[in-house]
Amino acid sequence: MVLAGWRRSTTAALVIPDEQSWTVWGQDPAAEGITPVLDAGRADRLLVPDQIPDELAEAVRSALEDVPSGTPTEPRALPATAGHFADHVTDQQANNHEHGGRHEHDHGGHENGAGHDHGDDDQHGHEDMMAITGDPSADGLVMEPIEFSFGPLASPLPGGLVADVALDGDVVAECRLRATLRQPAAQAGATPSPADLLASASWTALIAAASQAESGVMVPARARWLRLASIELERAVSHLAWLRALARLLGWPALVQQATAGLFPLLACRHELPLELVLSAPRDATTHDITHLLRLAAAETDRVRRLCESRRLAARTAGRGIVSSRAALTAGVRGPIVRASGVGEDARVDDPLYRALGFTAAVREGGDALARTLLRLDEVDASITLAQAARQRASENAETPPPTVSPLGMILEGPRGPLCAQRLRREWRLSAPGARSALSVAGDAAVGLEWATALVVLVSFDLTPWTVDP
Amino acid sequence: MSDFTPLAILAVALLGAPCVWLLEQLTAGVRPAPGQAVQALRLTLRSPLRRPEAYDNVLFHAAPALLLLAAVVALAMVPWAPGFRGIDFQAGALLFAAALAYVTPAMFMAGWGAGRPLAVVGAFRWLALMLAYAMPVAMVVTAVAAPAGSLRPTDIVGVQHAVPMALVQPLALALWLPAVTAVCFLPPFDLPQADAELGGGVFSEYRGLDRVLVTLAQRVLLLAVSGMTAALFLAGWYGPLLPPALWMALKTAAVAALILWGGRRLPRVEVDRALSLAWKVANPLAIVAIVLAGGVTLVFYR
Repeated sequence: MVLAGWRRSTTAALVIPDEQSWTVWGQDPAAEGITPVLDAGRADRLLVPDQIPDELAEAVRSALEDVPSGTPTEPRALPATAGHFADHVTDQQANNHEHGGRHEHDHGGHENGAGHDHGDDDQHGHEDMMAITGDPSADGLVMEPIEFSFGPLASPLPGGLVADVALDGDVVAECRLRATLRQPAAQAGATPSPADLLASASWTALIAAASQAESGVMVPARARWLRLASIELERAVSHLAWLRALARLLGWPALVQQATAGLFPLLACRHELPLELVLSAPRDATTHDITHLLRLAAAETDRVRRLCESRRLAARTAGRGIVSSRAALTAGVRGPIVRASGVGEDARVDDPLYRALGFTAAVREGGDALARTLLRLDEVDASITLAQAARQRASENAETPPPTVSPLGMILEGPRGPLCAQRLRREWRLSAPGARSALSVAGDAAVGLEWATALVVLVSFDLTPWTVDP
Repeated sequence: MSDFTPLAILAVALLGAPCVWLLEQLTAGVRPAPGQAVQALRLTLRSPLRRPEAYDNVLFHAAPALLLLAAVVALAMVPWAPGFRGIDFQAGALLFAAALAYVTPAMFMAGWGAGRPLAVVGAFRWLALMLAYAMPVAMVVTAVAAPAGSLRPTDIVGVQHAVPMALVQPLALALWLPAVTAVCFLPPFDLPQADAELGGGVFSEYRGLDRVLVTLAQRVLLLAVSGMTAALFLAGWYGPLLPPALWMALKTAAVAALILWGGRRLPRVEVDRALSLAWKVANPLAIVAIVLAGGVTLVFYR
């Protein structure tokens, strides 16, 4: 057939919590021909985890009501790679029973003329009721500020993140970001849950390493190399999934398609290196050779880079949302955000394993949305190289330097910055330094920008909806 | 048939819309799945209309109909073949631009009627955009009409029997294509309905038949502007070997495919940049295009 090599037709779906999360968990919706849409009216399908945290329950219920009646709803089990949501979860199956998983459901409210609820209870969509305060704007014109909340679902921000915005015309006058999802920061037991499900592999690896170091367990060298490879693969997947979210926000299908092509081999690599195997690394376990997949990923990432280094991306991101190195350091921001501002701070630099692989931190100057994008692409390249080198060392069972645990606990560089685990008596104290600061810095960076540009800036920070700090 | 009857125009619209859908799939590199599309259409049609009663219900529900009406009137101006044309108006090309102007109130009514903050933002974006892009459309129409000495589309096609206007007035074509893409609110100018930025924008509240009408109107609009582009710039039905109507259909499809393909290759244009391009570049260049058209007319077409 002439069209044999073409992509199959896609289905527009409302993806909950968001496409990026599902991809990081190893189940890329694009692989199943799902194109996420934020406009519920265009959704032909609803993809939702079978368990959702309480914080999102109301928003999910609202989403179920907002999609056209009869839209097939697909409750899906949370992948094991995602970890699990903490104590309080809502049984989505019960909701689906009520609202019709693959059933027609009838929303009497609309039909009875009650109309769509524009009020404050409508969390899912994007906006709440228009609130007109009548305060004069900065330019002296009497404007009517529009105040609304964007999120926690069906926004280009990760599911769970809410932006409380005041627009002056179409310019952001105020922006405050809230991460609404929370795992307990202090957890008892030997195997606490990942504190942030957008970096679950990194958290799991950190907690396992800290626990093993504390109990004096000798971890085989092979396991330590494979753990490093797994963390780097998560970083690469996380960055590319984020880039695809940015491309969707920009309305740039060519970049979406190319980022997806880069993600496929990386997700296949993660499938070959499951975290359980990495953590336990039994002697008789075999891992497949992922060299060819990593080569393919590197080639696709090169094509992504060519698109990102074109003027097309610069036209939308260069000079937007600048965070100077001084401002970033003063605010306490860490991770890729601060590295894109010219500060070469990276927890991996102090890790003996990374030093053995000749790792140096990627740094970009400028501190704008473009610098943050290109820096993450640099890190994808580095992660692919590191994963390949670590996989090689693992197969050779190469010696590893002894792990170092500082009195402050163990630190690991996650996709969005350092992650810390510290044992205090019988509890694990988990923290993500800089995550909270990133929210306030991003909110400030959006002020004064036109709405679309402000969203690009907010997304460029790659913020997590999970609150980790106690 | 010497003239299209209203029913024939509607038939072209209804038959053309699936063809535009097919082009959308092909330009996206996707295997068309008509069954899936029909199923999605049935699902949308079964969905009840939404009534934003706290806001302007009349404007909200009138907008899709007005949008479709504007698109169909624009389509009626397109000459498809000798003796097979829409309403053969003396000032058909100008009426085409006038019909497109009615897209503006329709979109504004949709956004305002919905009452949601981002829908209203989308409506105001559209208003600003169309104020800026309506003028290049009208001025380009004037420029291409000059050699024919007539605003009748069939006369403009007739004057291109030797050389297509795209070769004579490439500047006018370069100004026309982005402007009509913006009129069709297609990427990279889909500012009023940007999915990720505005969550659907002016159309976010539409369900059921309203939603279907909006989608249909957008496809008919694309069909109309592509057809008129083929008529005004690509010598319409002129071409060797093939029947005239087939030439026109092929040229229309090529223009529509180009517009759709271009939208996939470029990120969405920022509203500030789109306005800046229109006012600072497109409008002054459109005046230059008219002056050039006058010169070309005096030298080659008298």
